[in-house]
Amino acid sequence: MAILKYIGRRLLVLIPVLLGISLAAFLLGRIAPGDPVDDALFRIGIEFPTEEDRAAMRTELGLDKSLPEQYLDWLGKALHGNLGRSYIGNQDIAHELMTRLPITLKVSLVAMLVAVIFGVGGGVLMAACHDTWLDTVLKGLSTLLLSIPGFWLALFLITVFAEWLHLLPTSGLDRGLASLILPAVALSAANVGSTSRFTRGNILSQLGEQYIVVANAKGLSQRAVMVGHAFRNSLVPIITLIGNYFGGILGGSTIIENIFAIPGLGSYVLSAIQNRDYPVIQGYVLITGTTFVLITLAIDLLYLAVNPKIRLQGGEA
Amino acid sequence: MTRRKKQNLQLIMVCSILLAIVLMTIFAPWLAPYDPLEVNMDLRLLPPCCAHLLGTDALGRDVLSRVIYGGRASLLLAVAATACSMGVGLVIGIIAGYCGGIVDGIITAISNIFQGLPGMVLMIALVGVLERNSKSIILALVITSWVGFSRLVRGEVMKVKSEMYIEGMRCLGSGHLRIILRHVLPNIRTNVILQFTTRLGRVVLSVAGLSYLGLGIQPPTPDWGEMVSGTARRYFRSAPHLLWAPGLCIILLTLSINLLGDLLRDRLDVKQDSVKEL
Amino acid sequence: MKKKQLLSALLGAVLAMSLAACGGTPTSEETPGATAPSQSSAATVDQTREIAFAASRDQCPGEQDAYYASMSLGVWEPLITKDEHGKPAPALSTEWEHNEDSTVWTFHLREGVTFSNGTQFNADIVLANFDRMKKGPFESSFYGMNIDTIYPGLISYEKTDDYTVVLTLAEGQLLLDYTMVNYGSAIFEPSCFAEDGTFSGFPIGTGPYVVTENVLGQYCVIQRNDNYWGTPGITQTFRFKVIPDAETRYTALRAGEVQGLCDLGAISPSQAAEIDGDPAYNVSVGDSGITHFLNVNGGAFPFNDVRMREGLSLLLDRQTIIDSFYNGYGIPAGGFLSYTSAFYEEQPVQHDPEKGAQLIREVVGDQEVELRFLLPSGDVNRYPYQEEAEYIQALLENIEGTNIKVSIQQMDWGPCKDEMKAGNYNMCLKIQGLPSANPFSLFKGFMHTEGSTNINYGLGYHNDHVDALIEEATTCLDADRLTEIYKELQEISATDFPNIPVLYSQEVVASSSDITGYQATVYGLTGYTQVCWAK
Repeated sequence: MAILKYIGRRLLVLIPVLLGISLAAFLLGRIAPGDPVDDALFRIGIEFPTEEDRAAMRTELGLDKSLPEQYLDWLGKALHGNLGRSYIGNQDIAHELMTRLPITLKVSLVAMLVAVIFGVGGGVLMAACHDTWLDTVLKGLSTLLLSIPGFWLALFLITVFAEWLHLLPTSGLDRGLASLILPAVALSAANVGSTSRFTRGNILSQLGEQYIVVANAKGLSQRAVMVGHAFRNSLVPIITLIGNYFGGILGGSTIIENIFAIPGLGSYVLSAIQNRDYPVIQGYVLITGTTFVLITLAIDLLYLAVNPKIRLQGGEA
Repeated sequence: MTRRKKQNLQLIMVCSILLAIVLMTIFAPWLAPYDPLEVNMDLRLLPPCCAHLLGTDALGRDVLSRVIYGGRASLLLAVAATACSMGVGLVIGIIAGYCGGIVDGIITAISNIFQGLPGMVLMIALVGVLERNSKSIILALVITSWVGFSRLVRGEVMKVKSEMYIEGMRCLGSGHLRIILRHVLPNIRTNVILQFTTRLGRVVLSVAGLSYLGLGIQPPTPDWGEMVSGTARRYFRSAPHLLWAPGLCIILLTLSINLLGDLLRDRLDVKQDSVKEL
Repeated sequence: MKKKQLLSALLGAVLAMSLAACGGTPTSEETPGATAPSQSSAATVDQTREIAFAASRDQCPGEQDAYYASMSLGVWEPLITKDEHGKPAPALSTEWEHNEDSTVWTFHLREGVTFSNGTQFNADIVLANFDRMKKGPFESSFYGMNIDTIYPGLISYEKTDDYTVVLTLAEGQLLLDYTMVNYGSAIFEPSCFAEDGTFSGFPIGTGPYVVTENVLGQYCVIQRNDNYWGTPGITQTFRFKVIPDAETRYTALRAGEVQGLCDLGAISPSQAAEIDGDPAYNVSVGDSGITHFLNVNGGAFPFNDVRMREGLSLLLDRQTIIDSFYNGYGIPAGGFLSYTSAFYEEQPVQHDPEKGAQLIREVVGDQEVELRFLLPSGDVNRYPYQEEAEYIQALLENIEGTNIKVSIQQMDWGPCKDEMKAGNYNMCLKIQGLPSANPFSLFKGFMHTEGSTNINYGLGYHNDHVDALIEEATTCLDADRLTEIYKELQEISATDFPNIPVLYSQEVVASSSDITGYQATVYGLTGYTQVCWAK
């Protein structure tokens, strides 16, 4: 019962947050100075428009109404799954975002996988070899991963693995999993760095706690202690951390998608920003914002499943 | 060598690297062999040689001089942006944590909204819309990153507030400001220092990322981020010397900032910083 | 009129002959499955293998695009195309003529042409395409399709027989055939149109290739049309990938993932310089209708003074800019109109830094002047604008005896245009293409006091004589007089500087030596038909 009530309350709190995100999304599309009327006219073959042409197009794009009216219009339609049509290309935005979302999710998931395998794995390894040369080397490496500009890493990966070794494609998606490896690695590099450091630190601090001493006294090997107790206890913060990254990866893949020619959400919104395609920017922010909020909720619930001890009264975790 | 000694040595090394970088940027006018803005079309894209130790760029400007000057913009911007976003986060966090109740509720809801917005896209959109200068970049960085820190501060403040002695002090008639200054701030000092280093490194890289899209620091001001990922990236095969030096500088800078954070963390014996923040 | 008719007939003959010569087989109506390699060696090469190209934008933007695919893919063909002098040349229409006041235009259609699905091409097809065009305007990432722009004042379109179509216009359009070139007169099989005039499924055209697969934003695949009426293509299959990042695109070529880079900004000049001369690659340079302009705010000090504009123009060492930043790919521009236009008149390009500095000194003296230099970020990604702007900045800041400060700012094109319109700028580098083979709209837009570009770019240009000339051109029905007006406008542009022309662009493309026959610019309907594996 308490759990249901907790979930109910969490869902209730979501409403104002989602409304706020929708408002922010709407405004983000509108703060740009000037209007996209000229671009829209250019695309239908009017390179040298008159004032009448522009007024007509403004009405057609719905830009002649007041801001609150535009917001309510937009929100009403958005609730029915209609995000309008893009100024450029006249595409159904909801449809376009939904065909692109799986692509971005796919890349993000592989990136998460890389972060989990190398981040958590590396962290456990570092903790296990605590204070040996391997620990020092891995620690240095993880710090280095945190310090390289993403674009450089991408360029480096493409040059080495595509041009020199011919192992992986430079770009696109037409080679299945092989196409996803380089972007995922580039996307998760910094996360691998911080996850591994975080995991290491967490396990080490757990190792200092009492019951581990007890477990040691029972004669288990050092390694088993590590895996059995410390790691399980570090799991909760690690899950939260990785969950937070997911949001970051989802929203941060803009440049990486552009470099690797991946037609996901990021490259879509990037070109929308450059072309001032307001409805696309709005739809994008709304979708990623909502996805992020829902993922956070899911993680909190997962948290609950992993560690039922957590007090249910807390407004937010 | 004891662990402590080893750490001290590392700390000294990292600090001297950082100090060297800072000194280099401060004394750039005396250190740089040429004017970093001087264009000479007859000396385009020279490889490293005696007269130009790191060669020249597409406009015949001395790369070494530009590298020496290039830390200025990056560092200043990163420090200013980090300080501003943490300042905003600090104030909001203290208000939320200290006032509690409805104020806290509203601020928490607003933070949730900001946390839900995609940071990088928000930043690109904002800088794209605003005028291209450092002020816009700082503003965008503040808007996209104040939330994390304010949450951290709020948590700490609530912890301090719930402790018995503060209540006692309230009874004894201490003012709010006094309590905040005397008891809350000192408690979050370590966190502030650690957060500062973590964020500083990240901001340097974010600005370099903006330069990839032409939204970073504007030319002709020499800047490492711009030199690495701006238009010079087109020359990365034909004239790689344009990229190596500023690239190494950025990596060295962020690496030593991150290492400093690590060492400080060990030194100040903080268990781990909050999960939310990483 | 007679002269014109003769010319187009002649050109048609030449084109047909050249096509025949290139192909090696007679261009009869039925040449099913005939592979016609241009070199004997190519005959022994397996041409069924797929050739891949990469471009920065989608070559098949799909059903919502007015043309579905770029014309260069050879999926569809127009009534009228363009020859190497920028003049109209026959395509699906073999010849055409118009009445004395240019209000009635008659087009004779090519006979024996079938669409890729077997439908016969005839006058009814053309009328159906006009019906569809009237449902527009349609958007396109190439050139928007707007019947009012291409066929201004169109009253009626009807057929007089199965292979003759007559257009009647309210007012004479002396250069209608120029505006109809290529995208202006695209022809599709009407059954591929949806109710609203967009496409339902793949486009069906008369061209040498057929779209068989299209994943928007990723790639499209075209296959050879074995029933093509002209010289069919050699290669069986082409794939066009979208790779927006220039560096990745170039690496894909080097990694052998694609055999060529095509379309606007295919390869950056510095990259082209790297592989130019490398036997593993071919770099091809061709004509481009794009002109790079340094737009200046003529409504405000100091560029409101013609001496300042002329001074800056004299200061620019255009050849150095081309050699240094464009790897030599470009032509110094003296006048307003691109060298590829049929109406181009060469204008002298002058470089005299001393005189230029003197003129600027006269205008600004030793007072402190702050100039705001805007760069549209889209163009910065495509062209070496950053370097070019910093070079111009250095030129201006180093004029002895003056105190000029230039601040460069990169901006997205949208906000940039707003700043220009509001007059909050002094200089801005920007490209301008040829929207149509008829340069009238360009002249009017940039040089007329009420021209839309003149206003929207904040050029602040005003010249009574120019206004009178443009108004005369609006109603001019005499071809010779019109040519004369266009010539005079170009001369004025080279001395009065509504904006400062910097260079005429050249299109640069690159391909691997594994393939042959890929050229930067093709005239007529050749497209990719000559591109094939070399080994």
